[in-house]
Amino acid sequence: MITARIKRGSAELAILALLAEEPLHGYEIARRIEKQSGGVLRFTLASLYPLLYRMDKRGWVRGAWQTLPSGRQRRCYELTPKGRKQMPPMLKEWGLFFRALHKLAGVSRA
Amino acid sequence: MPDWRALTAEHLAGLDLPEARQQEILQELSEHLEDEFAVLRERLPEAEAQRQARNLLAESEVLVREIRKAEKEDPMKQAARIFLGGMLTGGIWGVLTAASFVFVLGGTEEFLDAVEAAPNGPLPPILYMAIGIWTMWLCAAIRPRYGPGPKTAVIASFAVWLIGTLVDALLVSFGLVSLPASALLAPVAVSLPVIIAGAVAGAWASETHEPGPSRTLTPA
Repeated sequence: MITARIKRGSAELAILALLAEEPLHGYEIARRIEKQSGGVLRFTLASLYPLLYRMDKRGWVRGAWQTLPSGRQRRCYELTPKGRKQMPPMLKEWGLFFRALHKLAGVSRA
Repeated sequence: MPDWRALTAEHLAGLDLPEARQQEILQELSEHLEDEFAVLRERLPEAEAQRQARNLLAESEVLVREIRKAEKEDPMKQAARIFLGGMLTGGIWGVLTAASFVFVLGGTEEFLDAVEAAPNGPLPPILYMAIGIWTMWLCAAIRPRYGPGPKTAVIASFAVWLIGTLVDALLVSFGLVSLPASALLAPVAVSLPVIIAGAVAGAWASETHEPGPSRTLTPA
């Protein structure tokens, strides 16, 4: 079982990585992270949206409303240049973290 | 199908954010619930799909607490906004007060003579700025209750005017300012719109630099 603390730390990177591919709305972010992590990482409303709002405030992502052809309004998030700059150091940090765990306990890198 | 928006609003009643931002969050979360319901509905009976989608709001207390934490503004940024808004408010008060002394109260020579003769003279500009900053702080403090916009600035500035008037009345009644009480009436009356105008302008400038809701709607 992955603890909430590790999930929180990795969630930012997961969101940045997804949004680096294309802008997505909150539900789609949650769905893709769950699917692509094989169900290991699952967002609740209380974990996903406050995190997105923090990242928006930091200027890492930008949320903008869109009106779909059906008339529904969705807020899509896109990665900003500032958010893109966060990815390499975060990837490096997580790489170091998993290498350290691997040395200590034989945990293979993600 | 349930009214997801109303259901979300019910669970997030304690959010207590500026109205526009609160509505935006309600819209976004209710869209999430509607999506979840639609996906669940593909493989479950409607009642069960509804129950599971509603379950997403089961931890609404945590959700409200986390959103409020996420929305909380950086204290340094908030202090800067209050300071700048207060400086503007004080500046406007100084200019409008000077103008009102000349153009509106020009005929009340008794008051002008008494102000000149008073030990401390007219308020120094820095005091206008200090009271302006205090007024903007008051605006920020009461805004969660009264919401953003000029209404809050009017309430805060009225409170400041009331306190100032009481202080003036006390100074006069204890003889600390050599001014007949009757001479206070006109300046006190004129100062109310001056104070309100300054505070509304300061609050407007302060809120303009505040992080607000997302960009306006754009076509998909």
